[in-house]
Amino acid sequence: MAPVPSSPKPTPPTTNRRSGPASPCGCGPTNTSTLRQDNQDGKRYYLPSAGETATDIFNRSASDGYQTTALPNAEKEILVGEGGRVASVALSLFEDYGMHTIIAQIRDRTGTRVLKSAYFKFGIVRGTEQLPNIISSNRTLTNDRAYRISGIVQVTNNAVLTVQPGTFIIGTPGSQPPSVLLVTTTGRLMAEGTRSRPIIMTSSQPFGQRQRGDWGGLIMLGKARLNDPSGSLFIEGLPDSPDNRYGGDDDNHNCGSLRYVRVEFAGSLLRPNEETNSFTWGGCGKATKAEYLQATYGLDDSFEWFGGNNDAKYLVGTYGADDYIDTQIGYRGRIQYVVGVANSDLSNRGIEADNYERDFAARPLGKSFMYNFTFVGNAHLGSASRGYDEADAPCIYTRRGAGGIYNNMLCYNWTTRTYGGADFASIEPNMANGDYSISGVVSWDNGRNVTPTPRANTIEDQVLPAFLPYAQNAARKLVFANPNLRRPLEYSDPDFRPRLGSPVLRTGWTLSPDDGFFDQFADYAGAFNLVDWTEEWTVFIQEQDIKP
Amino acid sequence: MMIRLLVSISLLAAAVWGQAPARGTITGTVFDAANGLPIPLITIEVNGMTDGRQQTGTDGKFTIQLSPGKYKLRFTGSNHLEASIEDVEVVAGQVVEASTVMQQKGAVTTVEVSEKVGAVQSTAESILQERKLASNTSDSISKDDIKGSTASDAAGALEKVTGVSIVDNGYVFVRGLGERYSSTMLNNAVIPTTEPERRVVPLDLFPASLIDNIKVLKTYSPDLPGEFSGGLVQLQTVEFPTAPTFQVSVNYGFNSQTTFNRFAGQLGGARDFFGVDDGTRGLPSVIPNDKRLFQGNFSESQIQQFGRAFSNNYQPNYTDSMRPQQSYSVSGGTSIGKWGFVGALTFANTPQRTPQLQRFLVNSGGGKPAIFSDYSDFNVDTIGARLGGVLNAAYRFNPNNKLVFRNTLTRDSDQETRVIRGLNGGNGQEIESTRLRWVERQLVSTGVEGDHAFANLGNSVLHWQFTYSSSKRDEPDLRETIRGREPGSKEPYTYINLPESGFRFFNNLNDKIYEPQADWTKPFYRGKVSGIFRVGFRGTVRRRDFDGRRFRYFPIRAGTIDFTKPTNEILGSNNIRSDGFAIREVTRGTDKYAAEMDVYGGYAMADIALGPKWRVVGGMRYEDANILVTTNDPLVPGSVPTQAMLSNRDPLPAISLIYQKTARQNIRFGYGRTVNRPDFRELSPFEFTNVVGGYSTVGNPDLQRATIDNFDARWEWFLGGNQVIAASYFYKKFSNPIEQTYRPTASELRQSFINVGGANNQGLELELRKNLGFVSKKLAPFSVQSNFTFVNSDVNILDSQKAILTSLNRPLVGQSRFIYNAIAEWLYPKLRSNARFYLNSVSRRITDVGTFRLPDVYQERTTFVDFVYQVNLDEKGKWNIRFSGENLTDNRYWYTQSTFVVRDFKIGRTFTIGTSYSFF
Repeated sequence: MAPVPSSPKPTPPTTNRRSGPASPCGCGPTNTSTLRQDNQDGKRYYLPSAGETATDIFNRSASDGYQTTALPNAEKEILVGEGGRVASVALSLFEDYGMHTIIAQIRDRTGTRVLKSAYFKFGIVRGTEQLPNIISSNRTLTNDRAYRISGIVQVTNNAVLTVQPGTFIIGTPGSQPPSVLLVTTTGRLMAEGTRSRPIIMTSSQPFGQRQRGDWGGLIMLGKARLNDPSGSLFIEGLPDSPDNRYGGDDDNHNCGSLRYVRVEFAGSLLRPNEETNSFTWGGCGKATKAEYLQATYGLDDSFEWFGGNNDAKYLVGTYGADDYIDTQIGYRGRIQYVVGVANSDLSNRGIEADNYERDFAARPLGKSFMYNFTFVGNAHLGSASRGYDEADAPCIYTRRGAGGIYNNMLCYNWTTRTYGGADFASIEPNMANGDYSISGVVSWDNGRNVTPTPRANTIEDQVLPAFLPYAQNAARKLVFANPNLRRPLEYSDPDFRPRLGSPVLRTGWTLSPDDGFFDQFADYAGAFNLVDWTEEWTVFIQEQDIKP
Repeated sequence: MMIRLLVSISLLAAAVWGQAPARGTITGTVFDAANGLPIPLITIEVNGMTDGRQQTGTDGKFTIQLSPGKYKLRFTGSNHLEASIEDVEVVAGQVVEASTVMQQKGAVTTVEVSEKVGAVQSTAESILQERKLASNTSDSISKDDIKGSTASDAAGALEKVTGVSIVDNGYVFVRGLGERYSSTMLNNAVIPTTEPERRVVPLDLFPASLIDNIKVLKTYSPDLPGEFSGGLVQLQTVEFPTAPTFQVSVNYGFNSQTTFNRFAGQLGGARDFFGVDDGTRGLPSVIPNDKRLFQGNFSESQIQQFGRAFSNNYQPNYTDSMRPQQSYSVSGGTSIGKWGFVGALTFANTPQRTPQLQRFLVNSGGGKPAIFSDYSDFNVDTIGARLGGVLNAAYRFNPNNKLVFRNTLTRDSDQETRVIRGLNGGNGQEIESTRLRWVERQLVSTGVEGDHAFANLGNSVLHWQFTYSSSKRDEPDLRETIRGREPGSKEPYTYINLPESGFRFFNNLNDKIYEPQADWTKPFYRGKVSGIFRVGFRGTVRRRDFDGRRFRYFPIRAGTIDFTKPTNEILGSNNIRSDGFAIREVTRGTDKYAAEMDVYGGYAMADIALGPKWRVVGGMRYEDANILVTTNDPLVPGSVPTQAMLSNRDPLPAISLIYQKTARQNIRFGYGRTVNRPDFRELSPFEFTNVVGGYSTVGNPDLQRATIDNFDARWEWFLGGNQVIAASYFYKKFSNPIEQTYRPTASELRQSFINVGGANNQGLELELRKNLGFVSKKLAPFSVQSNFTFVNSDVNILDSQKAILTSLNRPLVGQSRFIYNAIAEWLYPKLRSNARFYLNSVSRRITDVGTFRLPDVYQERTTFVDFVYQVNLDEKGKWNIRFSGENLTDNRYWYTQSTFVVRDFKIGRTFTIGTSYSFF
């Protein structure tokens, strides 16, 4: 069996040094430590660096009682790059199957207080198993194995596919139809990871060679309402078959539950014009759960909804080639806490919301409720990164009769501008009757390198002229001020939380409805206040940074 | 789109071998008056004398060489009443045609031939004569007609036929029924198509100078393959001359919007002018054929090496002043002893600029259309290069036994350079899309056939034939790149990463048909009842392979690339790197299919004359058809083979009743059942976007064959010579017809195929060919031809489609309600001149079915006016000069949807001057 890669989260040094750089808190020398956590039993093992004697953070070697790990067990396999190496560190085998984490910590000089941690998730498995193309009876994927997808794997015939926390599912590049995990309207997926043991769906390629579109992605289809007159549609990017249809009249349809799931390097080109998204929901209903999800390096949209009304919370989209949040065909769900981050590779829109492309006035109206989104773009990188995928790539882009509530957004350094769209006349009636509303947008430095005239931080420059009169209404609460985030542009290790005094922490934002879904304490713009809810289960590493 | 090309019309004028003694030739065909079949073994007496060898052959033809003078011919045969032609004038060095018909002995009760049967004078007349006697309802066009027109190929020639309209440059619609319901035969053999997206071969592939005549059979009879309903187009290549001929011709054409204008071409190979790619556009040799370029199959550096191997040639190569259209042809034939030969070679190179406007609409709410994409600057510059050759040979053992070898080769290429600019609704920006395309098509058909008459087997005739045809189509290296800018911006366009950008597509198709066939015909005579009995067999064994490969340059990281540079530089090899562009193969598992179809048909039929007035033709054909289409590219991981299998045995009866009101008037009634089988492509899940920005098309492996019941009635009055008046009515009822359907996904519409409940089609045709001499003697040099067709059809829309399709009651796609043709001809032998004036008008027709509350797209009425003048510079007609003006009114092609013009263009007027010279 060839070693199979996982996804990394090493950050600064993964070696164990007695003294490191000046501490971030400015309170004197710090210690760095690297440890492995067995996520099955929670035990922690501190690691030596290559060529050094193994010591723990208190400089105790094995003879002093430091627990070294002897791992000559050839039955096991480490889910890392070729040769079992991550960066320059050779890893050995560990005794327990399942997910393990390498944690690099910066601690204060006493070694007791953790100032910052970096996490690298990997799995120890018995082997890789190919999933059949049809899963028609209940099945559980256990985390002592990795699972390979080649072509379409569909969950159908009332089967429930359960995925244990810490399980790796890897997609094969090049297959056509692309390798996708497709939950049809008659199947259900229960993929509930945990913060320490997320479920990772990724590429089978070695580190450094993984690319967007290596495999297809995750598609969930349900029978909730769409606004296509035929009531049901085929999903984008896949061949026609009744199993690929979605849409109906059950707004309570349950497509399953996703928690702590990462989808990486997805979005196979089905053909020019059609790519699969990292996460796709088509006609999923209210009973569907989705929270703590990350799409990284997606070739198409990070998260896309085709109709339906399922809710989602805590979404991370990183380094996607297309839009981060895309809704169409009458999506009516609620979304809170989204962060979308573009790097120097590619860039497009933050939100792209349509009602329906083929009938702008189709009903039910596509009206989603979106609160607390943070978008951090790549405008500082200059003209090369703009006009790239679509020349008009604002942070919030609405068109084709869109409805929707877009509140408490943060758009920082986005590609071309803050707010725009198309087909204004088709949106206007929705604005008039309250089915479309924007309130609370902190905007800064968007389109700052647009040529020939960089866009200024003014409403006239930041809003497409057709939408300007609407945006100028005070009720829109557009604020042009530096959000003063901690480390928003530090790729591979960003921090999107606001510093003290940030304008996102002002009062007066429009509160989300107290309907049991929305957090009421989120009285700020953007997705973060004090808590970094992306910690541990996500990955922000840029692929080029870990290229061997 | 109909872009009519001008190519030479070479004249296979008959002339006598120079050195031969000063003799002339009489030639002709003898037809049976009842069934229209040529009669073999008829003895011809000249002025009452015969040497016993002057007999018609198995094809009913005879040739006699005589000294100049006037002769009387007398025709006798064992089962036919004798016939004669008086005053046949033989001129030294010329050929005179003297065809005739003979009555069967049993068919005439009282020997009282009221109308004297005259000799048939020209090929147009003899074609008409054949039509009069044929058991099928047919319309046809002769060599004379083609020669006198502006048509450069079979498609152009057919435009003048009643009930026929030409769609998309080479596909016939007969009686409002699309190519699905027509089929094409070349020299009586079914031929494969060169187009993967089409069922029948495009008729513009056949240069006019290779064609002797074209017949469009509109009714079925059991001796024909049962798969047509609208029309069966029968092309016959040049026939054997009765005297040696050799002729060359040269033509130059000037198009008002192309010639001497700025023109977008391509940097291609050295042989592009002749329509042959010299390998410039081929897949680079380092690209492996046994593996797909997927990550995992190759290392990153290998994939980079592959990416650099493709030429970075994406931009058009402009010419400031485009050359005129040109065409050349050579043809000749002779007979040497028992051998006869005929051959023709033709070449044409035709540039055409077509600037146009194209728009796509969207439903902006409540069914109110609004412009979605607006390409106001949509330029298509094409160069067609066409090469064709025919070489036929015949060996006549004796008049009763003959072998014929026929070989036809046609190949053509289309170089299309397309530059589109305008607003793209999909991404809300102004784009500039550049696409370079090259398509090469080739069709080879080679066959051998024999005719044997058996006098001792009741004068029966055996015809057998074996034909092998192969068609190839190669579309190497379709390249498209897209640049864009914000709407309203005056900035230069920058390269953008739309999914079609940096796309390259290679595909090729091979289609082969092996076709053995045999027919045995035996006449019988039983007092008042006489006729023929015929049995036959035809096997059509067809194989097709299609495969394609798709690649796309995908930007891995954009930060390091300057997208304002020219496209050739952006996609240049120094940008193919790990932080720049990478090539990816996006070939799909459905991009390869293999198909086979075996149809074996046997039939028995009788053609019986019931007394002098009535004739019944009827019989039964039985066809066993097996189709198997397997779609799979085994090199694509995860690809699952899809198989479509169809197996049908169909009895296909036909009966027709002909009432001969007078010797010149026929009334016909016919019924026949035919089938329509799904095409290979329709059974394969292969998906293809015919027009980028349009629908993609995907097959349906579950299709079944459709059956059609055809009813026909026709009255025709032959006025002598090349004159006729005819009226026809037809009604067709379709069961489970295959119709286009739409399957929407969120981002696009897929066009597919489905068996629908039913459809009806009915119509009326009127035809007139008349010399105007009857009005006034002064008008004798003038004659008119005119035909008019009215068609009405309706399609039953399936319930499942009602949510998607806008109009629930509509005609068949492509069906015009009216088709009108008029030809005025002026013949003035004194000046050795003739002139023809053409008018062709086709009323509006649906080109795309409207979906999602958008109305259907109509192409509005098109009207063409053409003019041809020819003059012979010498008495013998050896040197001919020809002027023509085509599309004199510069017809506006425009397409509407609701109140919007969605497509609009003109093709310009074309003026051609040409000359031909016959060496003998």
